[in-house]
Amino acid sequence: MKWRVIPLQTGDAFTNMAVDEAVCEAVAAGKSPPTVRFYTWKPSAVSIGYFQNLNDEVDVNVAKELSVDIVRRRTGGGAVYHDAKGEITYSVIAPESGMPSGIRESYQMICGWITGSLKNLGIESEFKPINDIIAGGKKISGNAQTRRNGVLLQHGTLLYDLDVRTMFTLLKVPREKISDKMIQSVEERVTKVLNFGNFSVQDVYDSVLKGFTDGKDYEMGCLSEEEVYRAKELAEERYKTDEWNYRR
Amino acid sequence: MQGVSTEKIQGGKLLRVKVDFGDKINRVQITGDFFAHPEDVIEKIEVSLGGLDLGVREQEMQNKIDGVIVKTGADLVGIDAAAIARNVIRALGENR
Repeated sequence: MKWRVIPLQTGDAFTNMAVDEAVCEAVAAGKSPPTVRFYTWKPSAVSIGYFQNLNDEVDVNVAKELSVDIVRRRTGGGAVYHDAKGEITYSVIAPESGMPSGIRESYQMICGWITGSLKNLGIESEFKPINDIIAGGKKISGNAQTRRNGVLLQHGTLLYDLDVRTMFTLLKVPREKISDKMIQSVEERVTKVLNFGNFSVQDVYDSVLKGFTDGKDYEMGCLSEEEVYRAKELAEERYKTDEWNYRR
Repeated sequence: MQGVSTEKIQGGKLLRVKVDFGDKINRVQITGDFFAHPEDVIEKIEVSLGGLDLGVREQEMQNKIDGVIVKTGADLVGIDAAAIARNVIRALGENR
């Protein structure tokens, strides 16, 4: 399987999600190759999982005050704060036929590319099912996957320099989730690359690029004109709408 | 009336069930940070629970949910039929 790798791009929340879906459509139609892409979020944003209720998860008033966008993902999982300077997000989009058939196995495989990326920086980490990667006992990467029309989409974040205080001002974390993990505070749950060394964003991106391409047949590429056009449509018609974002 | 039940499933994900009910269950909404493939199985489960008597047995409800999952060929990750049924019953509380 030959991969297209799209280098780090910056987009708003609606465009980022729309591009993932546009690429899924193109891969499903056989018009685009399996794709790995990397991106950041500007302005900062919160993405919520497909099955979450926006008002249950996000303080909408705080998001407005801070000019933080909110978008519903096509993937399940939890609410994530995407700090404009605090993380690198990846998406893997490929025909299901070329990936492990089991959901858990495919999480493990792709998350292995992230643990490999961290290892390139000298950071030991491990995959923690269902969909997390932990380093030093704390979460450093969250991942989410969906499969539709024969195409697997997995996207996830690698926390680089998280603003924990802002994150927990925006996110409403259920007390059931805290008590289950036997921790004193939600802040104890997460860590970031900068806690392990004075790495630049470029260092982290270089290591991620290597981690995701090691051993693969790939070439660097860009979005097709059709994908760019379709992403603009999807951003306007779906991801920016209340109908989508408040659908549950 | 409306009832809500939230549970962090042991070794799984957070599940929140909201139930609107009168003499019967009118509407169930299932939310949380779990995964389901294909995703529309959750809406199918919600629809299947509408109209059930408030006194429905938990096992009967679980069987109904399992039936939808099997029929859809779905894979739930982080929650299961038993957890959904358990939390619908909890959301109904003493109104059963």
